[in-house]
Amino acid sequence: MKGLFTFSILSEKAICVFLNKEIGLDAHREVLKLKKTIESQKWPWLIETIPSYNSIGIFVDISFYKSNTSLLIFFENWFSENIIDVNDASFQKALIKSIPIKYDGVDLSFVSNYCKLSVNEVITIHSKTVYTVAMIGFLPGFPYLLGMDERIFVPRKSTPRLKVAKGSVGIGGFQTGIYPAESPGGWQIIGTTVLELFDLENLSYLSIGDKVKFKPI
Amino acid sequence: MKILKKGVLSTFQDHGRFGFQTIGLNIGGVMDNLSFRLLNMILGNHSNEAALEIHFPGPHIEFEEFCFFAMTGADFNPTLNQKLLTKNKIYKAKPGDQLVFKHKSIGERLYFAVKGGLEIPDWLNSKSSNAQLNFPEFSQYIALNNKVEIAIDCTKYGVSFDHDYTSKIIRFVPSFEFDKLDFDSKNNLLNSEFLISKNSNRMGYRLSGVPMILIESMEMVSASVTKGTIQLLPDGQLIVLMADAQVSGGYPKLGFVIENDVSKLSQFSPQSKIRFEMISYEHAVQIMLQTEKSFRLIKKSIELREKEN
Repeated sequence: MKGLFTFSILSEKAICVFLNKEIGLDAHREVLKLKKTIESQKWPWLIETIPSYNSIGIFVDISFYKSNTSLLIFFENWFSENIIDVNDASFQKALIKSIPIKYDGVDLSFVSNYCKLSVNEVITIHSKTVYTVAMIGFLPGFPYLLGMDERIFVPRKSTPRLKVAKGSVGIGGFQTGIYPAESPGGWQIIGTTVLELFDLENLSYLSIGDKVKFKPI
Repeated sequence: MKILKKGVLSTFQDHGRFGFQTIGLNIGGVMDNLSFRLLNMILGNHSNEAALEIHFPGPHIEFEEFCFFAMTGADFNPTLNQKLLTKNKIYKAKPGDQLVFKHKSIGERLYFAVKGGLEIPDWLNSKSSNAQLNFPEFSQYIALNNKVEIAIDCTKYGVSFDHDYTSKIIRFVPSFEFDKLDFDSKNNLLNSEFLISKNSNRMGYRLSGVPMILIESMEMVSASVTKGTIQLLPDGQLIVLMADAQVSGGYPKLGFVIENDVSKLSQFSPQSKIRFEMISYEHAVQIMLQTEKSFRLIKKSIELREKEN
C-alpha cells in the first residue's frame, strides 16, 4: 500500500496521514473508512481521529511510547499491512438532513455576477445539490460541505469581514458552509438559516459524513 | 473566593477538552503545561485539577475561607495582605486575606490553584474555558472544593522547576513541507531571529522575520493542526499555533515546536525575540519522555516529604 499515503508528524502525540488522491467524495469516503478501521483497533493510547478532505489526523497519548518508539514507523507499517476496503455499504445509506434557507445574503449579487448566472440560477444550483459534511471546524459546529457544483465556485473575500451573522450560509472556493455563531469570516454570504447548528447540550447538529440539502423558504 | 477585580484574560484551564475535535471543539487547555503540572503536584492535587491561568494585570482575589494555595509560571509579584510571595511554594490563606498582583517581572502566564481544587463547572470532561463559546464564564465568586486540612511546603526540600529564560532557543521538528522552502528561507529559519508580534494570543504566536518563500506553491487544503504547529502564512511570515489552536488549517506546515518549548514559548512576551533550533522527531520524543521522568521524580519526592511530616 506504500505510495498511496503520505505521513506527516504533527507533534510528539499526533500524526497526519494524507491520501495521495484528489479531493472529492471518493477521497472523503476513504478517509471515513480509515477512521472507522483505525477506531475499531481499540488501541488503548488512541485519543481521537480527525478526518478532513483527503487526510486524517491521529491523536494519541503518551502511553503510545510504552510499547512503541515512533508514530511514523508504527503507522507506516500498519498502513502497509492493512488494506482498507472502501466499498463499505454502510456509507451509502446516510439520511439526508434538510436545512431551511432564506437566500438573502449580502454577497448573492456578487456571486451571480462573478459566475455569470442569474440570482435564481445560483439559488437553484446551490439548493439542488446533496452535500456531504467533509469536516467540522473553524467554529464549533461549522460544517465544511463537499459536492458543490463548480459553476458556483467563488473565491473568498480578500479581506475577511469582522462580523458574519449567526446562521449565515456562505461559499468559499469549492465548498459551502454555515456559520453556527457570529464570527469574523471570509466566505461570500448567500443566505441565512434559522437552524441551531451548535448548543452546549446537544452539541453539533451535523456530524462528519452526514448528507445535507438546502431547502429554500 | 471572591474576585474583587477581574484583571485581563484570566481563564480556567486544565489539560483541555479531548475527543470533540470532529465537531469543531478545539482542545484548549493551559498554555504552559509544565508550570500547570508542577502546580498540582506541589499542592498534592489531581494532576488535571483546573487552575486559574492569569495574565497581567491579574485579578484581585479575596479569600472567604481557609485554604492552601500556590502559584507557578510567570512572576507577577503577588502579595498576600501586602506581603510579597514567591512562586512554587504553598501558602495558607484565611478569610479576608487579599491576593494582589503588583507588577510583571518575568513570563506571561501565571497559574494559581488551591489545594483540593476550585468548584467550577465541568463540561465534556474538562473545566477549560472555551474561548469560542465563552464557556464556562469567569465569575465573580469561585467556590473552593476545599476539604483538606494540611499542606506542606514541598519547595523547602528543593522541589522546583522553571523554564530556562536565559536562552531564546525554541526547538522544532521539521515536516516534509520544510523541504519546499527555498535555500535562503531555510537558512533564515535556522539562523535568524524572530520577533514575537503583538498580535499573539492563546490561539497562536505570530512571528515576524524575513519573509519565507516556497520553491513551489502549495494547494491549500484543510487538514489537522494542533498546538505547536508552525504554519507559513501567505505573506511569508510564521505563526506557531498555541493552546486555543483551531482544529484544522490549510496553510503549509513547516513543522512543530516540541511540547516542552511550547510551554516555554507561552511565557515569552510580545516584542521579545526567539531563535529556532531544528531537532529530529526521535530527539523530541526523548525530551518528552525525559520530562515525564523528571515529573515522576518530583512527585515521588513530594510524596516522600509528605510521609515524613
